[in-house]
Amino acid sequence: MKRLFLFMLAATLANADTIEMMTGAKVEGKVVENNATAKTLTVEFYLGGKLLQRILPYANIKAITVNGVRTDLNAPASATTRTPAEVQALIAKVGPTEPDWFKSTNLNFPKTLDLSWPSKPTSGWSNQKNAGQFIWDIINPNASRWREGIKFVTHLMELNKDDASVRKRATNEIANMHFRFFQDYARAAWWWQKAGITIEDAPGFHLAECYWRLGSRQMALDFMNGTKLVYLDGIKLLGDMGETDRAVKMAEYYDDQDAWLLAGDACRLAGRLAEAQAFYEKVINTPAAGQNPNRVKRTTGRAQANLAAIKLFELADVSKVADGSYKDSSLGYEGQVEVSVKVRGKKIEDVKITQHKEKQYYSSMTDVPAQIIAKQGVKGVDATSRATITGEAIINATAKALAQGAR
Amino acid sequence: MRLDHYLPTLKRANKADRKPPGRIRRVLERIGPSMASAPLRRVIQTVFFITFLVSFFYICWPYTAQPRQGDSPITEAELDALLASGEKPWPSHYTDDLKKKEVVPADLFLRLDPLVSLSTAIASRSWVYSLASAGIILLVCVFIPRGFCGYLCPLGTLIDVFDWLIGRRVKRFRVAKDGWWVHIKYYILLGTLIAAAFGVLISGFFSAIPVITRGMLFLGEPLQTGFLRGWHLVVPFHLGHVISLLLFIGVLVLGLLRPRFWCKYVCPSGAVFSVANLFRVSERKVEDSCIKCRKCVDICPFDAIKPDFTTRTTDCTLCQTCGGVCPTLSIKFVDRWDVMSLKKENEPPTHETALGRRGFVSLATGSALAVTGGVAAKAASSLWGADLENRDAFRPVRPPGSVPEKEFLQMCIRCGECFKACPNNVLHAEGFEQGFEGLWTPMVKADWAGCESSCNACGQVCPTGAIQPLPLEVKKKTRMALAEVNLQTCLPHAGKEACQLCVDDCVAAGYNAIEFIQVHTKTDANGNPVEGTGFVAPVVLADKCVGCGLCQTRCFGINALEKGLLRQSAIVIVAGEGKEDRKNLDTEST
Repeated sequence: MKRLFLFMLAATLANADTIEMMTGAKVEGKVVENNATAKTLTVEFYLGGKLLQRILPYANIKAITVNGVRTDLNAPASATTRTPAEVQALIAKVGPTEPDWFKSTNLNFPKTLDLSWPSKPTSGWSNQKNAGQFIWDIINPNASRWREGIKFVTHLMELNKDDASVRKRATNEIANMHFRFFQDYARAAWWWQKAGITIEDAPGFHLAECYWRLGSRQMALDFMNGTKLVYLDGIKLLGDMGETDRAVKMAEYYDDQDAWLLAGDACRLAGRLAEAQAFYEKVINTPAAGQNPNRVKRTTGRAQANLAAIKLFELADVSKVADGSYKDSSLGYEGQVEVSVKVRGKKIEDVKITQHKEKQYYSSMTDVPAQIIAKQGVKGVDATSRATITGEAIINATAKALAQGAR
Repeated sequence: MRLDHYLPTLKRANKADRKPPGRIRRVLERIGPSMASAPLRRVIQTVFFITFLVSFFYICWPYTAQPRQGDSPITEAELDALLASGEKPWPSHYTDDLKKKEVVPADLFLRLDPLVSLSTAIASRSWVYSLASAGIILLVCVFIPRGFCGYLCPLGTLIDVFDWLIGRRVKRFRVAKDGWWVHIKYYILLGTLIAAAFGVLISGFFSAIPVITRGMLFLGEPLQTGFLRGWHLVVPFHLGHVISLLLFIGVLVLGLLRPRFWCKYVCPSGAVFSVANLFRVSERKVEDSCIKCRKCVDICPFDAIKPDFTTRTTDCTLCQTCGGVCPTLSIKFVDRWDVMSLKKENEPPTHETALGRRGFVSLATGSALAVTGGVAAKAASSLWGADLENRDAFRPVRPPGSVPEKEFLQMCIRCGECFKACPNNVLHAEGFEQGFEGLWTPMVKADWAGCESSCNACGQVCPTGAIQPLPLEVKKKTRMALAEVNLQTCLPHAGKEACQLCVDDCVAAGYNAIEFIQVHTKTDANGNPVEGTGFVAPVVLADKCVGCGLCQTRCFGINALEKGLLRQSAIVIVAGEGKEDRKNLDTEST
């Protein structure tokens, strides 16, 4: 009887699917039906000895993992390939519709805003007076306000529908928000097309990206071929699309810090780590003349961070680490967390926290090292729930320590 | 009605008939005479002492709580909340852990100490829920007069242990005769009650259970934390701690003068029981078979036997040790009205009068001192106090669910139980920041740690209701303060560097009470913002912030201590009007 129970338990666990909500919260259940037409999932949950069934709309769900395969429910386009005609049809169908959260989102903005949205704000910088600055200062940095943001710009457009310049700005901004905030490529493309954006305009490469994301690489490349000029955005998009050689060539032609950084990213994405390292090192070692120093600092900083990340996670492979004990530290909740990793015979034998100042979240101190030893590396180790910061510090410090030995 | 439980000494008249004592008896005798005569009482004392230690060091030790793994909901309500709005289940591991461990209330002994609830009720002029349990113990003590002191009080037991280990070996400080001190406890009781009547609560300085609780807190807690969790987590001491510790050590050291000196002569909680003894229904009585051997007088730890071997009824704790040493079995513990074959009183003469001239003088002097003390306490707290009228005066952040500040100062007994139950020592003992009035009250020190979102322990363990016992559902929305960002020092606001520690922490805790604002954006010639310039900086949403202080802990820990970028946290929780939810008692029911 007990054996049967254990078997059944194992069977249920094997069937456990993960449902990832829009907010990032995850819950385990069993997906019994996936209704693509009604856009709902039927999921069974086993809670405290009770079996509960719930029907969930796609809109609330970010992704599901069934039998180990993760499916992003709200970005189905990227997985499929479409012809340019199909992409255009999709844009025409989805683009003009409202997102399903649109009606239930409240308009929320300061009463002091100048809703005529003049292109040149008269007074100084004020996010309580100038609509654009309100978006910049308050909507953009807060994910919780993004839906409100699209609602707000739509409202501005309706208020100023007789003013062509405001209408155009609003159209562009709505496209931009769909693109940046929600990766809603069909709607973004529809609004940009409506604004008459070409590849020479500022968001041109974003529109090209939409075409690619929606399933047509050809449509994106064709659109990009509309210009002979070299753009940084172009290098980035080509890199993301896996057109690595073209991206690198373009970067070499462009020939400055920003371009090399993007070329490095492209190579890293393609797994060409040596080239990526070379580009990042070039960014770091070549001082840029006549540039805004803050910007140079930022570019160099990013190159350094990416270089470190390569060393950490892509080179911190225990099979390449020589025997020995390695120590390194990373910033935790209250200060540096120092970890000592012992490697012997290409195996992580022990992970110990040697120094720390943490006051809380002690669970991660035992849980994370155990996971690292079990998985023989830092990839796929989750920071203990509610102890993320300490856990991540242990993971990073371990990766850094391992990277020391990987020569 | 006989209440005897002592082991009688059986002495046969004929020496030859005497048997050697049995094995158990020999073991008991080796431990000590009181163990041999009244072992039951020692057993009960031990059980209660262990209960006290367990409740203080185990039930009030939050670190047995384990957060649940992942966000998985465990109730249907949590599941539906998660599915509808993506709201992660609110963690409750500290609350659940305390509930699970509280087989007896964590503050059981504090509730039983009658002076704690009585003085709090007088000072705050309100019903204090622990009055009920104090009433019950007083009722029990009508049947076992001062039984609290003899059987139950952990401070009494600790003093017994001290006397057994140290007191009986150090003879040089022993005092033989009774002195002016013999009735101090009544005057201290009177003094604290007078102060309470003026709305000043000082009984926590002298009441038995707060004294031992604080002693354990400032002595035992650092050791427990240091050994089990690490010495860097031990809260630094200040003058307030030192004073409390001196007081606690003083209580023990009094045992060098006489065994249980504190309990007999000084303890005002004991005085409450002494007064209650006037209503006793049972007492120790001596029969006329008494041979005046003085064994009982010598053994009595409470000085409760007069020279004529009858009982000082206000002092006898019914420990029954005397019964066990009496060679003639003349001592009995019976109802008050039992008059069977009693020994004659005043034989030998006690030289005690009901109230002689000297007695009257000492009564008058003592009472005058008590009144002076009570009034002085009131004066001290007005002259050197919290100064509530002054808006610029120091206002500490109180634990979540605290009653308004004026009432809080009148109701907080300063026992320290909440500090012990508080994970990560968010609550620190106040020193003299609010003068004398705020000494040892709990205040949130957010530089040290922030209030755990899953914990409501402080209110649950508070014996007086100064911190209301809020359910976690309510506590998580109860504002204890408001976080305020210092725009001059906050790194992104000041334009120094990017930092979002406070925002990340607030999101991780589930409050989402800090959002971003873009600052220091550069503009081009047309006045348009330049992408990539400026910083995102924190803005506190006053309607969501509960003042838990997690943001401050992080900013201080990293930006000030670790990186040395700031002297103080750039985000600080502030108490005060409109920033905290502190309900009045009359709207609250417990």
